[in-house]
Amino acid sequence: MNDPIQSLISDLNLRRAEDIQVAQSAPSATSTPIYSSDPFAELSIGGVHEFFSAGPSIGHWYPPLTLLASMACRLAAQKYVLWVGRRCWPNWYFLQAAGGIVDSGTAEGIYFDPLSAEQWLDGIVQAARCRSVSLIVASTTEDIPLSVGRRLQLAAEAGQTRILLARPMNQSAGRCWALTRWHIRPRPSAVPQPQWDIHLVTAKKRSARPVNQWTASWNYEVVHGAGYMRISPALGSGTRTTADPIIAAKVG
Amino acid sequence: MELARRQIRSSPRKSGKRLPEQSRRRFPPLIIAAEIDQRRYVMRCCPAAAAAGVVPGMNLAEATALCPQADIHPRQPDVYQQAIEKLARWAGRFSPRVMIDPTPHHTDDAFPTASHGLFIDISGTGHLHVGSRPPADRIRRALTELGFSTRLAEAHTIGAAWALAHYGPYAPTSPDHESIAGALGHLPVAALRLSPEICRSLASVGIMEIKYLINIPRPAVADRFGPEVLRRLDQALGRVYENIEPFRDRPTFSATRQFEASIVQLEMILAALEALIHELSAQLSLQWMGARELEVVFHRPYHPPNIKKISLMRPVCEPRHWWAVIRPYAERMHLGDGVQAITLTAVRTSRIGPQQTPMIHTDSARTDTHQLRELLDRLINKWGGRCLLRSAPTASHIPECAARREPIKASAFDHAGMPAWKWPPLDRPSILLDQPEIAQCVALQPESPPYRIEWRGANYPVISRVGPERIVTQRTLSHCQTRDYFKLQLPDGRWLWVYHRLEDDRWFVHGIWG
Repeated sequence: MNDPIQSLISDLNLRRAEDIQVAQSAPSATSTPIYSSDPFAELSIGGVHEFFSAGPSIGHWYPPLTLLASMACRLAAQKYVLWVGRRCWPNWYFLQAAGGIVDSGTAEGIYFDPLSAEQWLDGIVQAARCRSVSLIVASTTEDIPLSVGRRLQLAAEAGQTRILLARPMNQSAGRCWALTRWHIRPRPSAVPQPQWDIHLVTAKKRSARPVNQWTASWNYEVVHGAGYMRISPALGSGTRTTADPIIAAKVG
Repeated sequence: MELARRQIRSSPRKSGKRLPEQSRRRFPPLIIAAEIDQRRYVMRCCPAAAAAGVVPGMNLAEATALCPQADIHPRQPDVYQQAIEKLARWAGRFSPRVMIDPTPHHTDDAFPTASHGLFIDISGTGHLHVGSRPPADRIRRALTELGFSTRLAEAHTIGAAWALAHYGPYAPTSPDHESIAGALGHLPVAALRLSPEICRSLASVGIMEIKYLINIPRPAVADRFGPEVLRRLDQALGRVYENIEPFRDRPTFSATRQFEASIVQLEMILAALEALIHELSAQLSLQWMGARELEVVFHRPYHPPNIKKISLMRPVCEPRHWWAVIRPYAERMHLGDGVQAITLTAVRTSRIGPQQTPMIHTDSARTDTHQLRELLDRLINKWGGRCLLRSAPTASHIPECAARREPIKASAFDHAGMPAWKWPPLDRPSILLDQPEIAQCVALQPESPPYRIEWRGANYPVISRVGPERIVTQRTLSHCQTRDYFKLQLPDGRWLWVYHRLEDDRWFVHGIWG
């Protein structure tokens, strides 16, 4: 005969798991609103998202880490972030200013230093299947074959994890296996704030794409001792180009 | 009073059996050899070999030429460890608190080995020694009867006892609490159990003895040589408490599965291994113990046994956790001609307290860190401990020092493990270069921002600039730097974090807003 308390506990856990599943599936790409001025809404759970950025050469290429780290601080959701590859390790000061280091230090997370492509892949795949990791930020300058990309995508789906993959721009011509593909370019500005042009090139699960270009700027408020990423639709992109810019990731 | 406890440090110099004096003389000189990079060196030698001119670190061929009758034995760390544990067990007759010296033996840098000393806490055991010889004398006589030559020292602190046993006079000394500083003053700084690197740093500025170190202002010592020097000095002088962790015989937990014939099917091996894991876990959980290190041995016919050691971040007795770590290795193992037996042993164990089973499972990081630990154990055992790091923020205003990264420790994901202090947030680039890179800059005035920069072989005009922000590095004797930091925007929109070192008028790129 079953213990009534045990059955009650298992029933509660089951209901809670269902609630979590419903909550996680709610903001998925299939339910993206027609007008979306928030590029983060495109980063659905359980998928790989590629970010291509330009550099003078492969040796001098650096990932768009200001944007990726800001996203990580916002999307960590009290779980841990795995930063894969030395190029992809954000400055601790920056994460603190972006609000990524709170009591449990989840967005600050863990740094993985792979010595080979095999380690790189294995670390990401294993971490993606771990429920305590919500986000993996990785970079590579190597070409990624379709089979490897598919493994990453399956691992992200299995663990309901987001994988943000930073790659150099010269590899963007290859076949797309990720859920979304982005181009990030630094933008010269007259104000003393780093700015970028964000271009959503491919979104596999999206039905309508009225806005696919944004402008992002990293703002640091000396008074509050905190920074935030300010994102607004680029001029001429979408129907509401004169809309007030939104603050997409204000934290701290 | 805690600090008034008396410690005896005994340092046996040579092992041997209890034999009459005459028969012991018939033994040939003894040399322990170690092999480094396919070359054999003398690691230790007995006094007879030393009298012939043999010294540790000498090439073994040269030592053999000097002392041809020497008996040469290879280095066997496991045997030494077993011997010192046996001696610690034996020393329990003098005090229940006996500790094997955990200090690495640094007398010769080429062969750092585990130390070969014992700490015996004789505080509170006076009633055992009433009417007999002083305890140090008793211990020495007992060790001599066993065939050991010893160096003993008696002091009120562990650090002082260690220093006097290793570097003090041969006659036993027992300075009282007030005279410890005087007794240690003339000893070399290595007597403070400092690493050879720190000793060399101290020697480079002429600090050879402890008395010179005591007279230097403490902040200057900490700035220049790090906090370790002050910690060891305070421990030796009794300003900081140092605990003895008594040696205890730990029970062995092991499970074995013997097969009638060699098995080559991986599925059967995995099934047997899983059963062993559950069996060992049950053994440990009955004792409220968790494994810190596991050893799996696959016995194979016609092949050497396949041994895999699994280190765990924390004591764990959950079969699921062990299985997640061991299984990837077992699946990739070379089976050879099959497996005859499997042995699973908990090599290192620790006590774990009762754990509350959560009524409702949550996905928050704080309650779900065991899954993360499982992942880390898996990755560390597969790829090594150096590949997984975590920030170790320190209270420093120097950018490259503030957040060093170090291999993950067991306490890394404790909520209480986060630093209590809050560093003021600052406007810093998202990417900080591991090493500042040299750049050539052109500025109108010596302390003004640049208007051109040449970095990594390309020359850029600077279209906007912010700064300077002055950062002065540690005011130590020789490493003081004054840096003026600027934010520079290049024509393509990239922002660099550049500093101007005023001492030598050089420019460096230190970070990028990627």
